[in-house]
Amino acid sequence: MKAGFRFSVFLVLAIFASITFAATTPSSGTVTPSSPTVSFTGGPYALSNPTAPTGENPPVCTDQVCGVFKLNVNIPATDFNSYKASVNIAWTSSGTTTQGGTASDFDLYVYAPDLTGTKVGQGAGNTNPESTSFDASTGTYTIYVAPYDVSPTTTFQATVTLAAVNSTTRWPSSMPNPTFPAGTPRFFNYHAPDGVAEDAGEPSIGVNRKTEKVFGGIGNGGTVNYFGGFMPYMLSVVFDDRTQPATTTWNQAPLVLANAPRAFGDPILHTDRDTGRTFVSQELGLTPLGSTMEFTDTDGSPFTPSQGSGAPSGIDHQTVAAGPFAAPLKGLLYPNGVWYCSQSVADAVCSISLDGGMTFGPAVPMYTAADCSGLHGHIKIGRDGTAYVPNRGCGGDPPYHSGPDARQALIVSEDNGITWSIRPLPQSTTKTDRDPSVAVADDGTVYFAYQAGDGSSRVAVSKDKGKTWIRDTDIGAALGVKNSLFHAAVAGDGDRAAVAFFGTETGGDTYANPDFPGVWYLYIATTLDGGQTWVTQNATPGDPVQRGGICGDGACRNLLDFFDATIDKRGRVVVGYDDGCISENCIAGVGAYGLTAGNDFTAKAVIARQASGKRMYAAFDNEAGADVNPVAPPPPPAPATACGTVVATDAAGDATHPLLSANGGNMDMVDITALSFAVDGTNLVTTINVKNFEAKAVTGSLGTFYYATWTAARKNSDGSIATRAYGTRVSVTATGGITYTFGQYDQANDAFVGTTTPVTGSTTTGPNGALSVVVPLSLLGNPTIPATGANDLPAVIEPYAVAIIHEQAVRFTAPADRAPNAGKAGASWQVCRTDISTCIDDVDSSISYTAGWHNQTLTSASGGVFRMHSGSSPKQGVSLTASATKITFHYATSPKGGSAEVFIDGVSKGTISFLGSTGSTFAPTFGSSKSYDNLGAGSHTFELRNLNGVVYVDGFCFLGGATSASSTALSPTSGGTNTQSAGQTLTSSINVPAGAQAVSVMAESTPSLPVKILLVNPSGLTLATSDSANGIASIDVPVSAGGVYLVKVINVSLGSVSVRTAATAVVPR
Amino acid sequence: MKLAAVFIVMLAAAQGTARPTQPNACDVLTAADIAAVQGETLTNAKHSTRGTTSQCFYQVPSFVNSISVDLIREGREYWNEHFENEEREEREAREAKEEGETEHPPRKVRGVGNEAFWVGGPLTGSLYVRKGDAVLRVSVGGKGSDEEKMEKSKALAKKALKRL
Repeated sequence: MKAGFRFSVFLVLAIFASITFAATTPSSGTVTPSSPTVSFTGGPYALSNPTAPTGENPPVCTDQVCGVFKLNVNIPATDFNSYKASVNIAWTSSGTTTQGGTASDFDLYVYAPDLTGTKVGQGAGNTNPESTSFDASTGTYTIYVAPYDVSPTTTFQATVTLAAVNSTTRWPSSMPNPTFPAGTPRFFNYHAPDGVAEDAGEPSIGVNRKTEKVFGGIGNGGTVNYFGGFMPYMLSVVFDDRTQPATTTWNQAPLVLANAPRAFGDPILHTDRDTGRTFVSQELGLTPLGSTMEFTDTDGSPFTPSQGSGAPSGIDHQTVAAGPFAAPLKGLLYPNGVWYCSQSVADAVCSISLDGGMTFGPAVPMYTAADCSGLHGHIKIGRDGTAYVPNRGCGGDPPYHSGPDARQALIVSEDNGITWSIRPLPQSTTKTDRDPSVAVADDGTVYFAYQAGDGSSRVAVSKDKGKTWIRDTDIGAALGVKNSLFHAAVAGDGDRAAVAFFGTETGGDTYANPDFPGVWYLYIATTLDGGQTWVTQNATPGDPVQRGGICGDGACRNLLDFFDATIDKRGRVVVGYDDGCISENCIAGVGAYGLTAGNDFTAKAVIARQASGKRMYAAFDNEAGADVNPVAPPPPPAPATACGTVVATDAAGDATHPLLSANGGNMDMVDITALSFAVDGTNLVTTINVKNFEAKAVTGSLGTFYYATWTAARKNSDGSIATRAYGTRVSVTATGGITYTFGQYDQANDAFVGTTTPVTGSTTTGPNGALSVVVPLSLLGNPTIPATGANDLPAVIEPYAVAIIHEQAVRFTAPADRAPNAGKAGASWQVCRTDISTCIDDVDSSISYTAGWHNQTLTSASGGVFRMHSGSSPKQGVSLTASATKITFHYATSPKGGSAEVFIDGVSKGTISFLGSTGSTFAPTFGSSKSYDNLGAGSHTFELRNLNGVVYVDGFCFLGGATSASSTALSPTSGGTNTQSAGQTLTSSINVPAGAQAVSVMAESTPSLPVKILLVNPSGLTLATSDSANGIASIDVPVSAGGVYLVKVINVSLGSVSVRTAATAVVPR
Repeated sequence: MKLAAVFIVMLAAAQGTARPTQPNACDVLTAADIAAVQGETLTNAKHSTRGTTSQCFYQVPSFVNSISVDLIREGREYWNEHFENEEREEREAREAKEEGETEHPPRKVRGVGNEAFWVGGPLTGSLYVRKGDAVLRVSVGGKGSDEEKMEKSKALAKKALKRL
């Protein structure tokens, strides 16, 4: 027995003598939609984790030593809503904890039905309160509250709340980018091709400046190398900048070693800017292989294994960098030092290689766990050989180096890693959550980017290697960023740096919870003056990288722990990140039929690359080019529908799984090629086709799950929409047995929710094998199939199928195959109705026009009339409110057609161009239309805003809708066509009714020669004048009185012109 | 050569401004010890301190073959936290908690000190040894498998422990 343990026993006995320990009170409770809340308390506990001082997950938990609460969820069968149960535990710390701290730390776990089942929720960080939420269905759950490190006087209070998921809750919108100063670096984003690097969490990026290619006289700055997740290859990307955005070639360079099955990994890539050598390292967690390291000088094969690759290892959180040596050391066979650092058990260590990464020196501790957080950021090497490793927390409260006294810090070695110094940022705060990032400019200026204690994104600057710090700045404040993660900093010239990070405008400490209501984007801040001023931009506007939480555990940990940035040879900033939101629905935040779209939980490889603006090296500023704006994502498409049985297909040959790669076997047995649905009597039948099905488990696995899942929706009596995700499963066990299951499904975690139902099914082995599951329609609430009414919702919305292989006790996180591919969904089934539309013409009283519009007649227009607007105004437009699930806008085009931005319910849906090659301004070409679908139930407002040039309206059609009356109308438009000689003035009149709000006049000259128009009020005062541009002059002025107004058109050109005028008043309806 | 190496080590130690009465990390190995394991002559022994840890970088002509030694004279608490069974497991759980990951545990090494563990692999492998309240950490650079480096570290640790 160890002395320390004897002391603990004595302590426990002593405490027992004075403190009464309580069981969980009450020990059970029930929540229902009508009684959604239950509370319980627990503690105090004599000793933290007395049966397992390590703190176990799953917890080893019995009452008296741990909180145990039986939660019963009871949702009536008639209630079709989906529900989430939220658990929150809080406590007030007092006394000294088992580990000697002052802040007690409880952990929270939820299992269904108990530890014999599945973990459905966990809140096991180091926060107070701890919380978690989970998809809940009728059944029993057990909540465990484990005293991770608590004092024997601390109790906890817990609350459970059941709440329906609002299927049409809208995500918050984000602040638009401001107008940036000329020369601000701007970026385009490049996603890896479909099916490539779909699971590239915590990626690193490097640029091989030695393999730069020049296309059309434009140097691409070098080949961009990217590695993340469990990728069995390194991506090597060649940019061709002859077009904007650049065209890209994505090559897959197979790795020699980092291609083994594993449960955990730590992917790292670094490219030496001086030599072009790229190092790739991977942690093969929970395998006998330890870690790997290999390198290439040619952006691909052959990779050369480094020292020790494949040997057992205990390292974690590794980082690699290459750079000059500090004097007097020099390299052997390789000009730069190659650094390898990692967290160890008791400390964090670094070693250096003098031969390009073949062999390494001794591991020298940078700090111990008593000094700083064991985990650290990525090492960077200055041009003078100084090595810098950033740390999220030094000092502060044990064991996490947290609290108000903890500081961000830079760990520095100026002698090739022989000795290290801890240099804190004394002004900093920390959440001790995610790693900071350091960048070292060529002149030695250091930029330290970090997540501050309030979640904000900050950068501090040091001119003396971290001994003192200046200009500590909140770089996200200008865009309202309140929480930030994953900082990646780069610097070029001394005064130039860039910091990329994931940020959200939603504040609070719950950003790591699955239900966090925020939307995350990639932000990039740049400075060109040494950190005195930063210009920050949303580099993915309208295209989030994640919806909801970015978590340290569970499904929303899809992005893992960091991303990376670098600089190419020509000073472009290049950011390698992963995207958790790649489907059109997720990007828009709205799914089919107006349902709220959630996160995709992907980790798709993306590169954000500087496209314009000043470079990180001023020497290349002359290559900056014209300023560009990121390409806006396209609006979501109308929901795909299918009356046939097949709703999704997937290419054969795209299945992949490390276990099959390593152990051999039939990859085709998990290669999904199609998903179909059918009705058989009173049953719904789901069928997954695979390329070549075998009823056996993959070697080394516990079996394979084939899931078909979809969303089902119903309208509640109040008009709201209730949804559920359902799933069927064909389970092939380790012994080749097959079972069939149906239940509610958690699409984020690819697992059933609550109680499941055994059902029947069948399989067909061999080529084009089929796995069918038969589900009684009664289990689905007897939906109407097919959906025929205009407002009816189909029984199956956004279906897809996945094949998941179980690896030993740990399920591999990525499916072996998905149909369709990641982030996409199959056609909604079965929607056999013909759209029933109601159409109105442009003169309809429900359409509200601002000033600037004119009535025109033309036989080719719908109803023989159309509306036209000229001039440019962000304030003018047209609007219409309708209760419809789909709105189609009909319009015309002409050679002088302009553009307008469409908004639905205040959200931009992109721009419409009215430019066409045929017709003329007053006789445009009709037949163009644009539809806006997925609007959901209820009233929706369509608007045209930001008008530029000539814009036309010919009418609207609606699916299942009724319109609301508008408050304004246009008076009859007066005017005509006249021929005017040079200098001639023609005067016409317009009768403006009493109560008119505005008068608009436009004139077009043919040919496009200069004319001038004036509007004179009944008192003889000239209200406005306008000179033509491109042959068109426009006036829009508010008026306060009716009467006869005069319109004067002056031909100010040197020749004769034909002038057509139109004058219109806006009047109350 | 042996005498010269010892002289270098002693000279390096003497350059410390406040040499403790107890030997520091640069006092526990001789040039002969280094040469016996790495086959190279000791050229410099650079001493530094970090809190209560005495640290020495024993440099040889082939830099990567150098040796790093840490010495914590009152290291019982440090040892308990990181290597005492319950404490070590607790710490691993904490790290897993921070990152949602678990990694490989230290390997028990027998035949040196009261207790010893090998941590890491060939790139960053280190031998941690406890003798009484003193904790010694040895890391050997250069080529070699995990086992070879562990054996080298063990040989050096045995000699160092005699000088504590």
